[in-house]
Amino acid sequence: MSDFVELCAATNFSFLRAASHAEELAEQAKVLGLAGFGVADRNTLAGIVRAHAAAKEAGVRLAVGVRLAFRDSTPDILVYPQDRAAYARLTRLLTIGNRRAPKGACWLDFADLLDHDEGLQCIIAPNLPPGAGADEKHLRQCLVSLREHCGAVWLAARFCFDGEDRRRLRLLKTLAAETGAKLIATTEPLHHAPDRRALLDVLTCIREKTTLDSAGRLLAVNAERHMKAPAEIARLYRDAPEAVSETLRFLENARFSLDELSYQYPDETVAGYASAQDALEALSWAGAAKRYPAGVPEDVAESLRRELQIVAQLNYAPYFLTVADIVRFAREERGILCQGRGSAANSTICYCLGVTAVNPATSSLLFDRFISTERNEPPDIDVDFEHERREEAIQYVYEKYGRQRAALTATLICYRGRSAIRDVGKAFGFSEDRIAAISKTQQWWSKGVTGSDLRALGLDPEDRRLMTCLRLVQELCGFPRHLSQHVGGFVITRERLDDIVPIQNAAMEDRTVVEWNKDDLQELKILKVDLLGLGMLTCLRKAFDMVGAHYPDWSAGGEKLTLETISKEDPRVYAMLQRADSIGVFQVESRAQMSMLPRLKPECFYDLVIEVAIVRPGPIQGGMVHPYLKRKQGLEKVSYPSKALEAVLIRTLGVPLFQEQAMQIAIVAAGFTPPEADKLRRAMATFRRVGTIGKLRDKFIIGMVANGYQLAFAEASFRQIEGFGEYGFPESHAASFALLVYASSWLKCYYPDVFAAALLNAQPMGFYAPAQIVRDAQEHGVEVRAPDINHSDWDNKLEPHGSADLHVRHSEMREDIRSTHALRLGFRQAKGLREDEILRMTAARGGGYDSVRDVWLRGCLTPATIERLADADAFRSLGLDRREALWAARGLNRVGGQEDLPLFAQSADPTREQDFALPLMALGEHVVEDYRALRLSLKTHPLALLRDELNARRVTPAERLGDSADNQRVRVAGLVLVRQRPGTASGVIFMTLEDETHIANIVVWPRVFERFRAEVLGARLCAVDGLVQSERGVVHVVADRLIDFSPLLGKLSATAFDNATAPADEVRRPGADSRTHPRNARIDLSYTVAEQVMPKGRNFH
Amino acid sequence: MTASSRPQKRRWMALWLTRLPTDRLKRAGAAPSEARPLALYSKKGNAFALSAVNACAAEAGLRTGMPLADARAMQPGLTAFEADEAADLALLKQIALWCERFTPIVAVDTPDGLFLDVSGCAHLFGGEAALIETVCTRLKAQGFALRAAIAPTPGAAWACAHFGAGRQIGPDDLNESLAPLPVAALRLAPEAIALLKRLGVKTIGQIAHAPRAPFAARAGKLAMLRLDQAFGRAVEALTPLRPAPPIFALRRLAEPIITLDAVLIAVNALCEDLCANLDRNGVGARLLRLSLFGVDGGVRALDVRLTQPERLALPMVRLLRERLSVTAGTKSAEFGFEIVRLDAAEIAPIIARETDLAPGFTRDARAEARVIDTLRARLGVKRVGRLALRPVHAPERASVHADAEQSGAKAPAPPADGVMRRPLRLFPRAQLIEAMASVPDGPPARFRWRRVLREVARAEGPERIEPDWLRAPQARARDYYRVEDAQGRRYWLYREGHYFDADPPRWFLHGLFA
Repeated sequence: MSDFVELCAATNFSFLRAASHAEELAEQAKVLGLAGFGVADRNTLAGIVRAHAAAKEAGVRLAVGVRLAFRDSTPDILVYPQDRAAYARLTRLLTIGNRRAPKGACWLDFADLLDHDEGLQCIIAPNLPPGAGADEKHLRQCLVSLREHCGAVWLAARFCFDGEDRRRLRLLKTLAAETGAKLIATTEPLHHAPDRRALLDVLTCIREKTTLDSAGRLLAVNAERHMKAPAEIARLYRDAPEAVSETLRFLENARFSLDELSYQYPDETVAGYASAQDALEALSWAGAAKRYPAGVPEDVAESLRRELQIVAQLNYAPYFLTVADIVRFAREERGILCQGRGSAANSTICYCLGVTAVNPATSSLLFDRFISTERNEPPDIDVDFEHERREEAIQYVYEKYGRQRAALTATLICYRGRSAIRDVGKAFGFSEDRIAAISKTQQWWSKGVTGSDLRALGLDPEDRRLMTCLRLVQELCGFPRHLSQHVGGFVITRERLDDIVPIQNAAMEDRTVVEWNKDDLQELKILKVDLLGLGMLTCLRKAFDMVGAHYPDWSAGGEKLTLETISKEDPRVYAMLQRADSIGVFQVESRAQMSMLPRLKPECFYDLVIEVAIVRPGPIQGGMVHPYLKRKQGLEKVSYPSKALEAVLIRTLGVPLFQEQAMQIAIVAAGFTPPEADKLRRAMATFRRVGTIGKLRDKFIIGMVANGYQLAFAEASFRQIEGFGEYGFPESHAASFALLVYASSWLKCYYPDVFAAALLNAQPMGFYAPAQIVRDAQEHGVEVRAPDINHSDWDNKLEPHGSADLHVRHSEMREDIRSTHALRLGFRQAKGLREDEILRMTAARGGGYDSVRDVWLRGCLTPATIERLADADAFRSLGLDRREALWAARGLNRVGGQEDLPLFAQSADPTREQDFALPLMALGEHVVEDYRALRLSLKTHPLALLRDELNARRVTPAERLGDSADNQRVRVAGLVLVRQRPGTASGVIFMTLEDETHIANIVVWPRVFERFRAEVLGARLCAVDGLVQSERGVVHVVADRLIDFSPLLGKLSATAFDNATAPADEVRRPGADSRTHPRNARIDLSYTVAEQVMPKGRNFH
Repeated sequence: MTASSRPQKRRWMALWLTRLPTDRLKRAGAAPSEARPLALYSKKGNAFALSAVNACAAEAGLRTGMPLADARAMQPGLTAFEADEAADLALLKQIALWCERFTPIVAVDTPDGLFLDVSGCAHLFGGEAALIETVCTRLKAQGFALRAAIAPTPGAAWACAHFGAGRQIGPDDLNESLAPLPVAALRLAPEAIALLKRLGVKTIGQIAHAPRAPFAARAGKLAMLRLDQAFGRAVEALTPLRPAPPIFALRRLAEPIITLDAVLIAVNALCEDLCANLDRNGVGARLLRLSLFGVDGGVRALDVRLTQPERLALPMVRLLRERLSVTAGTKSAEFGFEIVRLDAAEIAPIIARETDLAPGFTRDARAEARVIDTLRARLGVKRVGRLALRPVHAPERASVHADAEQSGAKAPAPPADGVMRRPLRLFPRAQLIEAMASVPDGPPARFRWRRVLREVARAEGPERIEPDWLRAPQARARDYYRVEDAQGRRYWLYREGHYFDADPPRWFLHGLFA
């Protein structure tokens, strides 16, 4: 151990001012043999938890500090708390600075420090350029006043390598002697090793919004701001050795460690109970009695007793009470649908408290797997609320605990591929276009930049500047960029929260955020509650309400429809899912899920849990999907890698699918201790450090092989863990989600009208556009009515008595469907309308409107709004089509002022305007306009009008694909609904096309994609030639050729035009080049307009 | 300039340079080749969208307005440049000037068209058809794609050029020719066109004789105005390209002049006139443009730029004389000049300052500017410059030959104590020396330069300057020292590289203080 401590290091949480991770600094401090190190980021403690963890890991002592940068002319002062009390003063000081500044800034004055400096050790870090002397007086004042006030003042003597270090050292020495401060040696490192200078320069450019070429002297002149070895420090400070030894004394007194943060969860006192534990036990048993009216079964009682005991041991009772109270508030006081999920949520306690509706007995989840006394890890409960009403729950928490005790957790936004390329590229002065080209390689369907990628984009891999840029991009990836607010994670404390962590303003008004993210909080064992918004809950609540209003006799018992009262394990619901009839159903509506359903054939709740979890990166990367399917279908015998793993894997037929199972394998098979397994999970989830992961990987695989497992299984298991790192999906979440899958399926099965209306009213959510939801409802026998000025509300609603023909595809459901209502589309489906205006109009509707003018005057709508209503073709009940309504709407303001109308409207109008005969609108045009205004058309499907054209081109309707033999060549065409390129599918693109008969699933291999790039990405109406492949009722067309049929869409509205001007073709295309000229494309009436109106198709990954 | 109210007498030609932006790049040699897709883009909101494409790109399905990212996805081989509307406009104006050979009245129709008043001009070129042919052939030869049409009104000519089948519209077939064209041919605002389309009105014929009041009430007054203009029922005012310069002086000479002396006499007089005019307006000229109109129809012009706004005749004359004496072209007068004109093509206000009653040794900015102007008039603008400091670390790149007008605003501030840290004389190439120094970074104790061994009496350093990692990743770090030898001579030395490196360090002398 040496006799030097580098106290003034900055981590990359001094955003854009330092170029090393805390982990790297800690590692370097250990390698160099420093006696310890101090981290002081600029006006923040955001990175201190990482530094704390890293220092512990490296076995180096850490001094916790902050570099205070003032907005007055005070030099930077680095402060280090001596004890817990001083730390609290520091966090309060930072909170003051944060709260008075806009988001992301911290405004501090010297006077603020003087108010909070008790127990803080201060290092003043003057910035003295060569020849400086003028500042000295100011510096002296600052030293003197701080010295008088708190006593513990040091003066940093940084070695600058600007040629005058000895002179400066003498100056500072004198100054220190005169003011009673002590000189202290430091390099104020901004990076751990010299080779980070390039990245530091890039960060400087990003911060100063300039380029490397024009930054000039802003850049580092040399690489001396790195962490130095004690021997080098001793040599540099040979004129002032006392400055070096002072660092040890300093560290001696900077005793505070984050381990001292004895976090206090608020006492949840419930009236009538002595302690939180008493209250929890009483409430749990009361809840259990309610859940099991016939008496609590012994196994449930047993697990409840055991869970309560663990909770008592760990003192987590208040936490459960908090969650239960929030849920109670939302559910009982506000009627908001909500549900808990997460590690502790699927416990018997939570089931009894009503936090979740998942019966733990049905999913056989073990509570103590999530809260183990040994790991002493805080429990984690997320509560999902209806996304439109989550704010109410958030405000309740603020109200109940107060802003001093509750705040949102932060989310750390880190540099990732594209953002890193953008910022580094800018610093290199690359043109926007070039940056876009490079980042193209990182776009939603590409991973990493390769030499051939670059060449394909016309970039030269031999270009040194470019390659340097890309190297720095790699270095920058994982750097924190800024703090943002977590969507709904709350930290709640008993004492003041700002004694534990600084609080900042959030971008949103009325929100405050702590500086730490969820990993940091977990590291310090601070509890948090996640309050999240979920669109499906909004949909379900609206659906439940609608069932109550329109189908009060839905059940014989006459109870209200809720998540609890919905009939369980209904075979008809599972039958529907087995047919992959799942458009709109929560979680299982994606293309991949839909092709999984007929193979998985879910028949009980636990199958849904698996269905939700299986189409995820974890199981896919681990290659676990197919083995599971085979076993599920009985094609393969169920076996277990070992006796020990049988208990872990029995529920999933011997194939690990859930994150918990992967962790269990690490513990049971690879010999990890539970904390190690947890570290493994976190190493995957957070910033990936190759070194650590490599070490863990070796340990994992060697451990498993040593325990007698096959290498292949070990490797697959590890790949699976890596997959979970990208997007962890534990069984506990899957179980909660599966409940919503079931509930939404139930509604879709029995009340498709209610389901469609609720789904549309909860948009935007899910995978499909309103057009597909509406169409699916129609196929399920729901009559859908167009929005109308005299019938529609803002929301979509049900109108009595309506039905449509059930599509033959769903004939099996004839007996199941109980819908009797028609769905009336609301104005929320139309583009550009405002809710408040429409509500005013519907409120004033009375007996109905009788003219456009009536709507204008009585309905208090502006002519512009009326025009939009005309676009939506909402005046049909007045006998006006959209064109006539538009003509009328346009005439409103222009022909006469508003004030002259009520009075003179009655008198005969002598100056009645001369009428203009509007050209009649063809059906095709109406359909195009419907799509423009509503993104769907109820009149007919656009392709139905083009069917003759398509027949002439030998296009097979999509519904006939099922009749085709395997490997038969076909051509299908349809509107492109979705393009999907999952990261796990090695470049394959899945396209979904829709024609008037059905949808067609297209598979495009990468090779084909490269040839037909423009068609795949650009076409709105796309034709595909390829071979039919069908497997268990799932039909695909494997494309070998794609053709852009979009110009055909022009025919929809072209007819009228062509007829009006017979020689038009000649006229419109006089020269060979004008047809393709962009100007023409913009102006040309018929073609592109219809083309652009049709949906572009959504891209997913 | 206005069109006459009798359309049958007037003839207008509309030119549409269909791919002006990409043609500009092609002519500048920036575009790869005609056979490769080329596009220009500009920022639309948060994304980049194509603003122009060449024929090949259009063939491949790229359209203006398409997001650049989509275009790249469809055509990875696409070459794309940022749009430069100023450059497009400049080029368009250049073409307009070129077109003045056909008619004196040429108006620019931004962004990519021109109007030529060819009334009574066509016969000079063999009729209208031949005139169109000539214009098109000659512009195509210069690399421009274009379409042209002649009609009785600018509006009709425009419609015909952009959408029409034929190239000429006679005075009597306006109706027939325009009726089948789409409403977009009326040069209406996009919103008006959209409304007409939504109303189902697709051709001009459908509204040509529609009831006017209800229509104007809905489609806007402009719709009717543009319609009437196209049919010649309303007057359209076009602004010709060459506006009169803000302030100018002109002399018509009774006798053509040929000799330089005679020109100078005329220039002298023009300068007096011009200055009197400038003075009245309280402004000075920043750019003088002298135009000499020859008897042969040719025009010779020369520009003189001034560093500061000038309103005194004498310096102007001096500058023009300098310029005339070195500009050969203007001297080939052939048959002499009959008109001379002097424009103050750019003017700027003159701020009058009080003169110093007791001028000391200070910089006289005006005098300096005049010297610079004279030098530039004689040597050319680019050849006159000044040394400026640049804010970079590398000493050899810290000074730069800058434009004479540019002040050294970005130069780093000098140290507070006024002590010079950089040598007065910096060698363009540092000179290799032998030196003895203590490791690892001590100053030299003695060194040999120009074969003389110099004992170091005092030294300060090191100042460590590392090479620019981007420009010179292989270069080694330098430690600079300011040293003074026993005789009091001061040097700036550096050691390149460190002791203990694989290659031993080398010592250089980079400059001398005094």
